[in-house]
Amino acid sequence: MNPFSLLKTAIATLIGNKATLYPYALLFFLYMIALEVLYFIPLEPLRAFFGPIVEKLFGEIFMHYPYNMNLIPKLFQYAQIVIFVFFGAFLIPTSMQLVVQINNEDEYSLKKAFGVAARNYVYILIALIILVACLLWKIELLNLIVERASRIRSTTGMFAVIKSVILQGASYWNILMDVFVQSLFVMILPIVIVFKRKIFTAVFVNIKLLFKYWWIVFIIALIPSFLYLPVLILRNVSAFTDVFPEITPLLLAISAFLSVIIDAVIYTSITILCLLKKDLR
Amino acid sequence: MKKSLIFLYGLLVLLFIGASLYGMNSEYAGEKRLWHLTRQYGTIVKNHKGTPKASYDALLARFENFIRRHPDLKATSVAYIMRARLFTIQEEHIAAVNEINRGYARFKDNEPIAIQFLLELAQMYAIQENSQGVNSTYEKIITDYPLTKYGIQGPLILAKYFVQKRDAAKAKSAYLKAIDHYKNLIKTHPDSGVEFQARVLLGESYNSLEDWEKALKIYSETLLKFANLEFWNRSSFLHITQSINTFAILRMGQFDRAIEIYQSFLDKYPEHPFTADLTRMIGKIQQMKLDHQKQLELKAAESAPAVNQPTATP
Repeated sequence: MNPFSLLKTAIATLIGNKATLYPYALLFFLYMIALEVLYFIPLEPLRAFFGPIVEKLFGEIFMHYPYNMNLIPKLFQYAQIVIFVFFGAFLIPTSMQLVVQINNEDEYSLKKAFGVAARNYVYILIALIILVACLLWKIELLNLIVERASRIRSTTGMFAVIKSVILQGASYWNILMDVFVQSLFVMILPIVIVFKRKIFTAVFVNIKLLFKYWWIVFIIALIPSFLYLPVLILRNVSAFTDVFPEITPLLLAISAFLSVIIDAVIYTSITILCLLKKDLR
Repeated sequence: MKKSLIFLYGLLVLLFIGASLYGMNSEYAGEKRLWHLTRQYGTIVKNHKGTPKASYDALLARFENFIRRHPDLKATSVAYIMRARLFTIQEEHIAAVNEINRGYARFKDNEPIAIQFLLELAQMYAIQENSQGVNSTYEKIITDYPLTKYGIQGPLILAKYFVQKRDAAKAKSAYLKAIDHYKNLIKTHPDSGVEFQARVLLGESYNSLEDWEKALKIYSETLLKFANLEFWNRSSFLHITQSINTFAILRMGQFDRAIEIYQSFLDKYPEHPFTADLTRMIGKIQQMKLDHQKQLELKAAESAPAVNQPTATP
């Protein structure tokens, strides 16, 4: 099984059957609503409600331009996590179920797909909570590594190289670690949706399958993630945000769009993998 | 589903446009426009000698335009200040002062902004080496806004300004005036935050006049009277104890005096959260005292003539 042809098939499925993209479009819409709310917090009527909270938690300065732009990425990250876990647990399985319906050459029905997603909501929610918990733990781990690396005093030799690789490439390591963590859990969702397994069985089956298909799953998760690199490079160039702070929410919108596209490609590819590999059943 | 999505995204765009239009004249929108103008000011400051006059005039006009369009925003006060600074850079000091006065007249009812204008004015007079102007501006702050941060600190800031100017006579006179001012504040605002601040600043004034005894007395009284945590955090508490140590030990060589002050505090407030710090400090001072005594004995032994050495016969 070639991961590249799986990715190709997934992209063709998504483009050829627009309905599979609707749930992801809805997910992106929710991200954008959150971003819009965060962007307009310093203005009335949102200011009246969110202003005191922001002032208390982060300081009064973050209700003023351009300091509020520095706070938006942090708050948007929290909002994205909440939306991804609670709404993604419903929308991603909906899209997966649509892929299953298309594969079975049935007339696809959004209503049916919603029904399947609703029935498995709790299982997928648990799976996504585990995934997000691991991703958050990974951020802590990376911060520890970066902090330790920043304490390296050597200016030449092996340690200096290690320091430079870790510090300058922290964002890229972050993506690679994200891909690694996601690969560990990504098959749980199709196992629940396609094979109708309960969550604990799905976790167990996932572990078993990982031994067999690790590299396929890892490459499927890795290749679409490259889409994220240009945004990462732009976000690391502070010159843009220094001159036009409004670039920050724009970059956040683009990165949210790309993360939805990446998720769509990954989850569709994995669903197709599950459908093609009979031994998975 | 397609129609629903089009509707939802349409709603998103409409909300964005609606909120942007609604907030067009808000304080936040003003801050945003002003930030971009202030960046242009920053570019001019970086290369003020190489900037042509036309660029100054264009930016001055933009700030003026902002003032005209948003007369009621708080952010507009910054536009007045920026215009004044642009005049100062071009060494048009009278225009700069006029601009500040114009802004002050507009915002004199808004205490924090009015003080900001006066501080800016004092700064401008300082640049012009106009001590009289600095003095009168701070006098205005002290008189008109006596209980604000700068109103309270004003007399001491003024004294420090004269120290910086190396005008010893005026500095001394300003310190003496500050002392009278703080004594008066202590009398008129007993048992309040104002008294606490006035006491700390009074101690600082005595310190500057090298009157260690009075500085030590006022700090120790303050420590014993204002033990409540609303007046202190750990660092400010340690700062005042370090000042007490400096006055008592370094300046006056009285180790026991510092120990006495801290012991009185511990006796009066045995449950205070900083008791551990003070107990540790007493231990350290006692150790320092012993070391100091040993050093004195050693020095005395070294300087005394040896007893068994035969005296030279004439």
